[in-house]
Amino acid sequence: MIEFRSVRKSYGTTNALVELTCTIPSGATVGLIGPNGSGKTTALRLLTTLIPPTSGDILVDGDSVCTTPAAVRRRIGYMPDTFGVYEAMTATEYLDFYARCGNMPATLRATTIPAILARVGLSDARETAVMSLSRGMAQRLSLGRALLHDPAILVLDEPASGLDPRARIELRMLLHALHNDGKTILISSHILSDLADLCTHLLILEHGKTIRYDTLANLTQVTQHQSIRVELTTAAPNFVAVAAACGYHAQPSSDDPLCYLVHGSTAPVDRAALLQALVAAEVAVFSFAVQESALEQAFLQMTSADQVMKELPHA
Amino acid sequence: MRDINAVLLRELRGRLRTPRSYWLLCGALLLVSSISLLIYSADYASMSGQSTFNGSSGHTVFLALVITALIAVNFIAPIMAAGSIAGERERQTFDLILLTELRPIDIIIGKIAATCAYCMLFVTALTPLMAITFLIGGVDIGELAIMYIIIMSTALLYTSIGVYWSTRTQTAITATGYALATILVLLLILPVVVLVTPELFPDLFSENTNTWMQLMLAIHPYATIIFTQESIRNATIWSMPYNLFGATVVGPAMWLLSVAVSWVWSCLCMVLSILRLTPPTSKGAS
Ligand SMILES: Nc1ncnc2c1ncn2[C@@H]1O[C@H](COP(=O)(O)OP(=O)(O)OP(=O)(O)O)[C@@H](O)[C@H]1O
Ligand SMILES: [Mg+2]
Repeated sequence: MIEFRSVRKSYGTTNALVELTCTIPSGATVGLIGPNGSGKTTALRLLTTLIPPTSGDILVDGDSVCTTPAAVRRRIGYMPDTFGVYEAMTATEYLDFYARCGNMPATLRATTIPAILARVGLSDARETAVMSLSRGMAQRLSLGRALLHDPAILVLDEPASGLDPRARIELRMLLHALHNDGKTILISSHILSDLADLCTHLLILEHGKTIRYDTLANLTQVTQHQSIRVELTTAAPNFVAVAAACGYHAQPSSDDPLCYLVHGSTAPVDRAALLQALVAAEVAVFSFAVQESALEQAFLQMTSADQVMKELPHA
Repeated sequence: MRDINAVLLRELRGRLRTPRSYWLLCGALLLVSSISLLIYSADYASMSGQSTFNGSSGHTVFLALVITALIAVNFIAPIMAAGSIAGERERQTFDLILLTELRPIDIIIGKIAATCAYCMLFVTALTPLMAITFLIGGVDIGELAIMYIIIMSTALLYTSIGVYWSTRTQTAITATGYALATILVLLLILPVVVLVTPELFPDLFSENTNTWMQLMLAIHPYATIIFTQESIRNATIWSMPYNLFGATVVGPAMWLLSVAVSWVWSCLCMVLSILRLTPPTSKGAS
């Protein structure tokens, strides 16, 4: 269990993180999300003990980052947002170096390193120079390094940034597997969709302040504005009226004039009735889909109002 | 048994695997051997009447070798050491090392040992050249050993200075600047101060000038070599007289003093470096 207790971090007059208080249960996957400069990296580095908090404390299974940092460090595998390389080193040697730094005995290194390389899918690249690895491979090697001492907690700072879609999917599968192994994972990103299907909890930060911390289930429930996206082949001026007759509120989509977003009852029977009514009214429906990504909307609702006010000082 | 220091192993491998370090070593060796050849020929030409080398020409070349090796160490040690910590910060690998089980002392010792080992490799590579002068005569094994010890102690001191600055700066280039500046002060400004002070305060130094100079210049390897030459000529390699407040006392030879001073300052730099890496006790806990 990880407890952030009124954690504050200031750099001079800049408040990088203000009064962060939250409790992360073991085995959770927490997504830290927020725009650039919102304090994600700061929060993660505080947890890794690399920087001390200005005030407050973080407890990791009862050990404080302030008073017993060494004990905290042993429980954490950290993957920073940059992949630092040494020249003239192969992937195996890279892991071997950090294993030695962790005082891992030679016999254990000989079995652990190939196992880790296999786990992150780099067995074929074990003799490849670290400098020549692709971004996706380097990220996986970095994750492998974080796994060396088999920590219970993984702290991953923007692991998906700069990855192509395929590498993202590979990384996501890896993280899913680690979650299933029971690891507690903290992962930051400024792209919500990266985290949506990976996390059990979300911590939304902005300007160092906590906007929201809750389980994914609660977050999506609170803003149950689940909508139906209806796409048409030809314009239907009677669309809004037909939907209204079935008890639904329809509004044209902002990006496509032949598309409507419909809000209302989530009961399958009501939805079926709506579709039947639309077809009966000769509306040319070719797609009728429930929008699953309610999280995106929830996120926008929670952050945008605040942000727009700040970005438009004269408004 | 504890494994060999991981930092040391990686540094040495990293350095020796790049072609750059071979070229650096080749270049330095070429420089040293050409300089010694030049001095050799000059010495040979100046003895137009005689037909053979003698001990004095062997000794001249030997001294030239020692001085050039020292000059090379003067640059190799601080430049390499300055990159040690700051370079890791630049490459953003330093955080990861701090998070491992390595203690600050392991990191600092690994870094210092790596640079010293490289210097030692360089000095050892000069052995064949030294051996020639040794065979010609005019140099005895004791003198050879003393000079090696002075060079390696200097390497240790300058490496420690470089590592210390490396812990204080964010980039290798600034650390290199500070390290070379510190060494410049020790090599150029210090002798000027030592020579000028007795002139300014003649009453204080009238009797002790020589001793004062020797004590102050013990940190100066070139001065140490020059003073040591005198001791060797007088066949007193372990001790020398000091004039202290009117009395003459016999103390350790200049090179012993110099080695001790280098070690003390190196240890000081190491301790300061280790303290720089030790995280401050946090203010956060209430
Ligand atoms: N070492 C530092 N010195 C001064 N200010 C800093 C330092 N590190 C971070 N900050 C400031 O703290 C704030 C939060 O930074 P942080 O790096 O935690 O944001 P982030 O959410 O990780 O952003 P990004 O998405 O760009 O990675 C920023 O305003 C930043 O300028
Ligand atoms: Mg960041």
